[in-house]
Amino acid sequence: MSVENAPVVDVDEAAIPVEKKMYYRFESNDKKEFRVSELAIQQSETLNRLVEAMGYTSEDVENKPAIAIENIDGKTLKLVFQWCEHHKGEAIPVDDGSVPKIVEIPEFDAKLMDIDNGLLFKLIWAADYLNIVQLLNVSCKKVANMAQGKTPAQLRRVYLLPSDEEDEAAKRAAQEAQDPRAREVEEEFEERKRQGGNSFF
Amino acid sequence: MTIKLLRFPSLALFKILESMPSTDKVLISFCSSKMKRLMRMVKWYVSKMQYVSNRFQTHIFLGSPIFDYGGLFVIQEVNEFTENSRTYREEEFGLQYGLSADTIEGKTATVVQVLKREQSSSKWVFHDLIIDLFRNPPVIEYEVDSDCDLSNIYINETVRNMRLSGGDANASYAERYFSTAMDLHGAVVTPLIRPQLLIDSKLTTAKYLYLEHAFYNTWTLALHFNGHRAVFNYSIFDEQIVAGIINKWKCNEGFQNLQTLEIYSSHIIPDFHINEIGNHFGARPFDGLRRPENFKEEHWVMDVHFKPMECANFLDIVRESDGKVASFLLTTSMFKFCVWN
Repeated sequence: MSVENAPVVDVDEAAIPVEKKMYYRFESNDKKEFRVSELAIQQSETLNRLVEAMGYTSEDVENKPAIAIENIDGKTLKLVFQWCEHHKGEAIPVDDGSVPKIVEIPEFDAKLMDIDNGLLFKLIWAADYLNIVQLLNVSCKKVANMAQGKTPAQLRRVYLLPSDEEDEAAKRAAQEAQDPRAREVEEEFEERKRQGGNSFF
Repeated sequence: MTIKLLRFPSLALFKILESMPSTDKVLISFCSSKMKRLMRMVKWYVSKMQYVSNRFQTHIFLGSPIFDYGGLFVIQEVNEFTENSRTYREEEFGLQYGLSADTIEGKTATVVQVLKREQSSSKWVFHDLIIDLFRNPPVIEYEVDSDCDLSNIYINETVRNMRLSGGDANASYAERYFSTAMDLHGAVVTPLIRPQLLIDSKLTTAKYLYLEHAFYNTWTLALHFNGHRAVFNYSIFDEQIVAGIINKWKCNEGFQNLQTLEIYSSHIIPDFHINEIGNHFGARPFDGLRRPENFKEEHWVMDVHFKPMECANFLDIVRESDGKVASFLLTTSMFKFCVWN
């Protein structure tokens, strides 16, 4: 995809200091390209370090290929960069291990995250991968809020939590898949027990 | 709308679980053994577990320095679960609970119905289900109304702070209530207790004791108090008690742990011979070389503030056996006593 056709992420030009007015190009794993301001990039520790390490100039940004982000699709990345542009310049919360501040979901973030749970799931993975602390905080808070007023049975359904029996079955299945002989040995052992044998060997 | 919680990266998973209010944290731990193990690993930010019981129900507050991380369970005894509740069956004993959501003063609470026929075991198992989730258990506190049937109230013996509220209370009721605690840290009593408590009352063992309507109980409790700090409001007391306290301390026959003791009278006592008591015990005015001007420590027990004390106008007495200094202030309406370390 060419730069001209890249999805436009709303940018508040006036909010960007003149000397910081530099944009980077990123490409999602489904080849969608995005132009993102340098200030917005600072919300992501991962991308910030990446562009710093690359040492791109303005010319490089135009002439070199877009930076590929291989494990995030375009739909998710668009949300990520919209969030970063909206919150550019804001302080990044630091986790000092003490009691954390209550996470409030601002109106913009609430609207941005008014999406289906599949996309929300991807957004959290992206925020985690790109190390965008505050986006991770608000998106996790949204998922935590889904628990409100629910009984354990409802929580199991909402969060698709397996029961102990399902966990056990999955564990057995995984063991068997790893070692196809395990089941045969177990069956043989059970058979010998039925026949009254004291020892397997 | 569903979402696969356990498929999130671990940082996100822990953020999600940690940002839930503690009631949700408890309920999600009921979903499976794996969730229980997981909830033992997350941070709870819960400092106290406070039971508040009246004749009709018990509230369990999971108290946090930040309100949103706290939570409220309302325990109700029922003959059968109401229709709006969902049954949860606990695995170890097979006890059942009827769970539903409610809103109390604008905050979400979880109503936990227990069946009357198994209410006793249901309550202690529910307590254990919660406590089991903490790596560092919170401080357990109880507040019980004086007209509750104690046999219907589950009180865990590891309780640290206890409050007795409501109207006048019977002495044996108060004794039975406070004796539930193995190690009583703080005791707050707001009703008048009668008949008078005995000298071996459990309340004398509390480290912090506050009686709102002490009356004649000051006679026994103040003289035999073995904790750090005590406040007796609305007391009926006389020179004999004051002299008894000072004498007991001076002779090293009691008050080994005492820091401060405050007695406030319910009325002015006009015939107090303040100077005579001072002279009798060889009291001397404040000397900055002997002890600090003020007692600076403060402590909170169940919303009662044991305040710092300004002692510049107190008289000092010295215990001859070990040279330890104590100070007191006596007026026609109060007696304050402070031991210096």
